Amino acid sequence: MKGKIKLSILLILFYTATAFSQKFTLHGYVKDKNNGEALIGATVIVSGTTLGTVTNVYGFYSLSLEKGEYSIEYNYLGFNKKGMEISLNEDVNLTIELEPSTEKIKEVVVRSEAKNQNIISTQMGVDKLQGKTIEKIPVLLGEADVIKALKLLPGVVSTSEMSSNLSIRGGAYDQNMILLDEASVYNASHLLGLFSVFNNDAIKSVELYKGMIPANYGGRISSVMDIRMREGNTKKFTGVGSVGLLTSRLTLEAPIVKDKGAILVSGRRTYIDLLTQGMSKINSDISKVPYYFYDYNLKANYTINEKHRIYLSGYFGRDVADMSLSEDNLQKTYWGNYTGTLRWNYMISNKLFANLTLLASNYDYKIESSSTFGSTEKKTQHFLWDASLKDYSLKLDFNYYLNPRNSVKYGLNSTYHDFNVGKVEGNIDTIDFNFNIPKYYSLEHAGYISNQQKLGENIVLNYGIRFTLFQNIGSATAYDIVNYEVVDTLNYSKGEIYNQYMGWEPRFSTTFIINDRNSVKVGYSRTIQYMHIASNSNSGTPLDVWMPVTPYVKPQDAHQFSSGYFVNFFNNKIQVSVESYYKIMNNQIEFREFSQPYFNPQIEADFRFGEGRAYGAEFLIKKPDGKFSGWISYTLAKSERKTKDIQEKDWYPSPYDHRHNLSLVGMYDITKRISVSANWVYLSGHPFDAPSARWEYGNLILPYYEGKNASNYPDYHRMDIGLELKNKPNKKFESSWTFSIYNAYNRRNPNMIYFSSIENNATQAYSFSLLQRIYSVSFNFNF
Amino acid sequence: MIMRHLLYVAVVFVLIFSSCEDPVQEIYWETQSVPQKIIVEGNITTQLGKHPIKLKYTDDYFRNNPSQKVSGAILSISTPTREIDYIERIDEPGVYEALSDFSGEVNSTYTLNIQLEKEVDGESNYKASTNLVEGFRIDSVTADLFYNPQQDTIVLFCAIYGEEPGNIKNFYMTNIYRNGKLLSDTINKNAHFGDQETGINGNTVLVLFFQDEFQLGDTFGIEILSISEEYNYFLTGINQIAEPGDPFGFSGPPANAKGNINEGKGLGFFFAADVSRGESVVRGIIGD
Repeated sequence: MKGKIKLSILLILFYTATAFSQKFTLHGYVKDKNNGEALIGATVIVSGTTLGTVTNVYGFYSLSLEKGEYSIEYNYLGFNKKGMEISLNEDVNLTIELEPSTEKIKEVVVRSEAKNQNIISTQMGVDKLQGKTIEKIPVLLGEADVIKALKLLPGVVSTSEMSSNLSIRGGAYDQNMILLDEASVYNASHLLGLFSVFNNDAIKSVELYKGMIPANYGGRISSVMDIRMREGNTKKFTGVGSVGLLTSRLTLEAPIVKDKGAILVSGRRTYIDLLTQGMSKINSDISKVPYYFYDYNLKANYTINEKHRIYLSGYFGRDVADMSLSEDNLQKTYWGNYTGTLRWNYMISNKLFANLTLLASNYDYKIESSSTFGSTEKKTQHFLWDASLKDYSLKLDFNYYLNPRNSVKYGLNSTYHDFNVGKVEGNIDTIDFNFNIPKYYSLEHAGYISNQQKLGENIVLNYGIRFTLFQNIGSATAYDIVNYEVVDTLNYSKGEIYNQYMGWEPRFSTTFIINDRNSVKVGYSRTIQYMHIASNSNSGTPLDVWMPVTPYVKPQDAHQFSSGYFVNFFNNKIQVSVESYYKIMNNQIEFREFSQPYFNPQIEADFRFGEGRAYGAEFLIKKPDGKFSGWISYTLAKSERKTKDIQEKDWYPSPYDHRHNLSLVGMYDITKRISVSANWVYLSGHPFDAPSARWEYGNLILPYYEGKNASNYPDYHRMDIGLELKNKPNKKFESSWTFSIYNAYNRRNPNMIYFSSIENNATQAYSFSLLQRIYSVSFNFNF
Repeated sequence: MIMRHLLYVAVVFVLIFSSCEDPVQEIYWETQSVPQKIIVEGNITTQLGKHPIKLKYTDDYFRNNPSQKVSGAILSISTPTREIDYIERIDEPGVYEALSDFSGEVNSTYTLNIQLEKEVDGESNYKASTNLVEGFRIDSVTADLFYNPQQDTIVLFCAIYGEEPGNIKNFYMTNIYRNGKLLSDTINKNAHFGDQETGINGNTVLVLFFQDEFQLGDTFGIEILSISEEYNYFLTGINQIAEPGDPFGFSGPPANAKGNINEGKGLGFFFAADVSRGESVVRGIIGD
């Protein structure tokens, strides 16, 4: 009944919308004149009116207008505005190329919008970053990193200083969907999170939805990070690269057929293993660092004709820790992601844009060792532990530009998940052994429809609904669990659907535009999540194991209410926003005491289920451009939980509870060739379990804990400084040097605090602070 | 192990370019103020004795002195049929023992009653009950040194013959002796296991390996204590919290090992055990 009511509301709204249906359509693409890249989010406005649209993620726009003469304005920040006089007597296909506003801007300019887009947009709780901004922020170990840049925005907190995992608005790190060209990335970290898997040179746009998540996204309850890769230069062969102390990277792009298609290849690798290997041969005191990572990005696109385009993109990354002692004694650990996206854009009509997308993604890790033993007869032993999560998806999405006041999105998608939670096999001489935790297979389906609708001149609505269906399928082993004890084991045959969940996820937001400088927004969203990480770590590890919901483990869901006030000053040069949110989360998972999450086929029995709530206010003052740019971000927040059989009477702090989060970010162009940047961050320490007292039993000194997460880490703060020196450019080659100091005043922020018994019944607290003052330099170039 | 190695790699990565100070530092940590609690440590076995019970207080985590003893309490142990009075030892305050020797009986329930001179954590009366469950009865033991070629080490291979009650779910803890001396100085060094998970339920032989350094001619002694499932779980907890925290999520969250003293309000455990003993002279090396 409830579902019918929701659909009726949608139909009524669409009916209202179709009353404005018009005769002719102006449509086409907006591109960068220099490289042919589609510009995402460029505004197309009918001069002197509020009618207009923005380009979608493929640079496509469509405006339906009555017959007549129009002055159309194409606008994209960092590019010269372009005006066109259009005589609309028939449908017009017009692709526009915008020129960068200064010749110097040749970095990746990714996402921007009209100068007061923050006022008129219906979006709340969304963070967007430009590639050039990411590059200007002082970097850690010479690598510009989108995830580290996002940490400087309100409502976004790193789960640990070293981690690439984020807590968004008090949520857990497995409640964030990370998409690279729409394919899921299940572990975004290289080297315990010192680097993220995203090579900034290959990234075109980054959008982080942390509040009102549009209906076309789903699968996680806290946020969606939508990262799009660059498409490649359709005009000419170009390259961009960097040589740093630890990593180097190179991106090459070239037209396949000029103005019709391009290919981009990007690669990155650390080489401290090679350097230390060479140095160890010269000086035996230096030992080889047995670790490296690499990743590759590939993207190709081709415009078959006006209506058809195809895209192919992929990512492949690997971390390798090679602790082998000799050729006869191998010990290696590998982990990494790969993703693949094959997409077909089809402009069905001037108003209807369709995408058919095939997706694949994989995260896996392997721990492998082999050796020989025996003094007389050589024997071998081999051990392999591997785990993985594979996804295969098919998506069909439509953008329907009904009229200038209504833009409808709808679509369907299905994903097949293959969870290998853990498998061990090997042999000792002739004796084979193996231990497999039963795999999980599942299907996740979704359908959605949404509309962005302008009501009059001052109200913009964005409403939609998403329906999701999750199915556990065989072959599988499931457990009947009563009072946390497995009372029965049930086996299901291949392909059998033995359990399913479904749910409606309404999304709604509205913007009341007070004037072109002020707006108020409110929103509500419900999100459902059908998979989670089975690890007790709050910050993530390379050995994270993902699991689906089961007949016993119910889906998590969240209701989020949010509101915001947006105001711009000084002709939109200063943007100010205040957003508040209240999020209710159900079926949150904690582990029972002394649980063993790894290689435990019945780990579900160790879960304890509870509810969570997170609320807060986010303040952002931003100066997006000019010689001096930057922002001040402050979040006042609280995140709490109640969990049955852990602490069910009183709310206790969640591990992601940070009361204060302040970031000051500034970038200043001293001259055209010299720029400096600095940021300072302050974060309240996160809760954890610290001993409150000690007790003796059986000649042991033991900690006693009072309350869950009752203590806090010390408050975190640090300052980073950056300097960019551009060398004198010539026509074909430009280069620059980037110098950074991370944690400039050398604050010892603990990455870990632990307590230990030492001699003579004494106990001591220790802190482990890895990221102290760190210097880095890199040489960057493009041609 | 793998995670510790990766952490080491991360440390090397960073230290090369950092201010090169030791990342590990002793710090001052102020603990939250919590009410003092009582700790109980004691047991009853099927062996004849006075079965001492120790009472202590919890203390500040960083006090770094032996725990304060609880003196002046009135203790007794009761079964449905008898009551055994305890008295505090004059030479060792906080340690209470039976007025005369006694031994526990299998299939009996024992209840420890403690009446304190003054309230601790809002209570002056503490209780704990435990069952004495019949366990493995040792007939004979053999102990042989065995060469393990995979690890190039010598281990002690023990075959313990006897009878394991197949009709009940048993849990065991072992005490190991070398030449009459107990090898484990702390409780977390004692092995503990269940008969179901180790597949020994109803068996007539129990095989155990020990890494401790026994030599030819040593006397290997073993005590097998049949303990309750609750005490076995308590020992699991003790083992985990005795080690420094694992930051990588390989184990459960930090927690208290919940005992049976006023349903966990007091710390520690009062347990009963059926004890069986055996010993053997260690024989020569088997293997490659």
